[in-house]
Amino acid sequence: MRRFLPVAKLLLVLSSLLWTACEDSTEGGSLTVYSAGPRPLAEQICRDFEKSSGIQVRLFSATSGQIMAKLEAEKYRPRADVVILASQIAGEALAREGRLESLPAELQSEGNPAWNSESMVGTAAAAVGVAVRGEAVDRRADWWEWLRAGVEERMVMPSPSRSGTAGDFLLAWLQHDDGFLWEDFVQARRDGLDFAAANNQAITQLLTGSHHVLFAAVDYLIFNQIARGESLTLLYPEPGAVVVVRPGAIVAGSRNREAALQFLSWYLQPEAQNAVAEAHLLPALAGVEVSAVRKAAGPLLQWPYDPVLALDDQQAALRRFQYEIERTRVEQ
Amino acid sequence: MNGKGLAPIWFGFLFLGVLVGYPLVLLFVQTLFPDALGGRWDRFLEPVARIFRTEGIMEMLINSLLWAAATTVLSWLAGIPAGWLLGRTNLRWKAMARILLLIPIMTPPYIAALSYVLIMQPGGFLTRLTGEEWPWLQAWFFSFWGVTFVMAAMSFGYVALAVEASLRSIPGRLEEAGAVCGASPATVVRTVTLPLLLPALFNSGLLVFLECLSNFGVPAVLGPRANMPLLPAEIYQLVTSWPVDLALATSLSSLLCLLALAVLWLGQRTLPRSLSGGRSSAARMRSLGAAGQAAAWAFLGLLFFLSAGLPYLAMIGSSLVDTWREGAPTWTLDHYRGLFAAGGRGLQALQTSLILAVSAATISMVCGGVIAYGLSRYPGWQASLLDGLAVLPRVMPKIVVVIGLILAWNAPWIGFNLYGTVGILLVAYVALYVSDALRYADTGLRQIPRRLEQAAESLGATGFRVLLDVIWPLLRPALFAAWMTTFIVCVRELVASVILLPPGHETTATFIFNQFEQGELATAMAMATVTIGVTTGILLAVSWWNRQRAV
Repeated sequence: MRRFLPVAKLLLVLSSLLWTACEDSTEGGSLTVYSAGPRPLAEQICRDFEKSSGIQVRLFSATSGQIMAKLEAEKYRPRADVVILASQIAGEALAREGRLESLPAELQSEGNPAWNSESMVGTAAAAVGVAVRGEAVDRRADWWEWLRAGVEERMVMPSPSRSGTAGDFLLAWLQHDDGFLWEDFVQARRDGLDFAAANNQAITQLLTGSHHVLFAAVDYLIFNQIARGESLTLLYPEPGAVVVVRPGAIVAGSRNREAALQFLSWYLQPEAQNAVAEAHLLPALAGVEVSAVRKAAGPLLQWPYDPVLALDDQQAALRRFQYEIERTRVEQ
Repeated sequence: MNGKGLAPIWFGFLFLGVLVGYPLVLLFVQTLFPDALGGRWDRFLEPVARIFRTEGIMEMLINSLLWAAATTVLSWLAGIPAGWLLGRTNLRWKAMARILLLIPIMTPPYIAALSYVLIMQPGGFLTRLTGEEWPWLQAWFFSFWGVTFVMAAMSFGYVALAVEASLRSIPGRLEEAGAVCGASPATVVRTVTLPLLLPALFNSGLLVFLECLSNFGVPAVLGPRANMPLLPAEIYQLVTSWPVDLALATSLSSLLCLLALAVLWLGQRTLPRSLSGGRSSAARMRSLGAAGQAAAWAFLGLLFFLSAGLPYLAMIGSSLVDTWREGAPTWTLDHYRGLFAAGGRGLQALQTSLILAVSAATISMVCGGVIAYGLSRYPGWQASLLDGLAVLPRVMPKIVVVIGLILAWNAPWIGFNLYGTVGILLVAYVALYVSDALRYADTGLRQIPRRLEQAAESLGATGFRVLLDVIWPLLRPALFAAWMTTFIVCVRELVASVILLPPGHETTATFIFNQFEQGELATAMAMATVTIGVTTGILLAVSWWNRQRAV
């Protein structure tokens, strides 16, 4: 028996440690927010909201995909009150299943009414463009030209089925140009277009110099790197950038509806929107100054798309892209 | 055999039933009735039917199997000689060799894969150091073989450890008897050592195989370039891209489970159930000459270089990079300072991870050991069932198991708040990895001759006393290996941690992942370096403590 004493002691110590770890995370009276990245922004906004409202916020920050998985698993006993996603199409998928509360009309008119819908408000947005290493001397005109010529300079694109924004970008493009998109991409792939797992990996490949052009780059992540001193340029080819709105919504069955409404409304006030702008995202509120790096990238023309229609196409299109384009071998 | 003797088996059913069976049953019900938990019993078997309508399913299945098999074979090729050197020769600096072999297992696979990408990509470290591109090497690396190579490099340590532990407990006199009877060393290996090693080879190979079947990290990083559609990646995507299709993901996972169970069943049919080798005598160590020592260390050095040295250089290098100007780095230590800044989350994450991993490893070792004892001493249908139950969470993609755990512990009928505390992670770690500990203990137990227990029993010792005074001391090395591997895999676990962590908590893996998500490659790599350093330190301390007590 003596031999087991150390093990028993260890177990005792560990269980008490675990107990204390469990103790401090009690529910009750607090607002639970599931938010897609960037994490520092989500943290700051929650902190500021806590300070101004006195309501305690419990933040779970992960990718939109992980949040969707968690929401799905908690379907029969929702834990989240507010959800902020990085893709409008993802939000649309939740809305369609009746998993979101409808929002009062006052809230729908706050921020940027064009980004709001019955159950979602646009809290911020990111635009999809082309990122180039160093100074881009040769500013090619449109998306098609980039797709054709960019591969000569080693071009990489985040896989649309792994990166939510690249997926939204592809679906938006599909709404404008159905027939030729596939041929164009097949050709680009044959010529050497590479795919990376997700946005960050694609950016790493750009930073370390293995690729020179990042096709379908999320602009705020690139601005983030530029602000840190990296030498990159972001371009918005013609006819414009696909603007991916980041919706905020209240999960159906939330027990803190009042606090959740207060939180969403807070998100659209100048203080929070300034934080959004500082994270290099597009703020929802007109009159909030965008970050200096974003301003320097020049004006942004929007290439509009309909997220409701996009949701219908999504699965078939992404699968087709995976099979016909990503899995085609590059001709050496 | 009486009912009393079956106590460890019943304990196993209770323990695994709650931890593994209960969430998996919920998942299974969802496969049959997608909306069952919502109280709707329509759409019976619809997800299963959809499996057959999923395009490319056969290709993915075959790819997954081929990949897992290739990785297992490669791990054997590297791990068996390494284990033999440790267990049967007078290799110098053995303790160090053991740590060197463990280090690659400690590396989160996605970090290793990423480091290799940084080295091998066009314009990567390799190109910069040698001043030229290596197109053939790159073409080879970004293919099936590269993905296999990285995965095998990360997992051959399992094989080496298991082979060593097993060789240590194979009585040397059996081999000596063979030699005395005139068998050549090669014949002795073939007819005596190898058959005795089979359980260890099979069990460790199974670990590697199952890890591959469910691993998502390595193919996720290397996959898009290697054109390798794999089943776990498909399942991961079904669960994390909208609209989420949980039911189809679950039924695809059942397919993986069936495969794994088939492999397990085959193994159980063919393996010797127990060996009674007589009194364990210390095995005779083959003495290596100076040339032999040099060759052995060259081999181990090469393994270490490929599996840890090279990726670690890339990892540590990236953690020290300030910015990449024109693709050339400038250096700084700021990322490390940032980790340990006052109030920093890095330190808190490290603490959470270590507490969880130590607890999970200890629980898995103790409970896995007891269950393995039941399995090896009371074979029968109950034991087979239990074994299958333990291995299931290991073969399903973790994200699916995690969904099952959420369904189970967030269910309306659960009156206490486990989900929503850090405790749920402990449950998840034990559920996911208790089978590893069980495999190690099982390997060890198969080699402890039953007659030792019988002797103790005939002298009047109770079952508990036998367990404490006979089994425990003999099983020590195997349990120790079990503790170490469980500890390591828990520290590096990512998928379960990301999704199960309650708001406001982090583990080292989620910290690394979050930093990486935000494009903070250097901070992520700094944290990875610190974590691996701390883990190595703890393993050194524990193995020192273990040696002290063993003397």
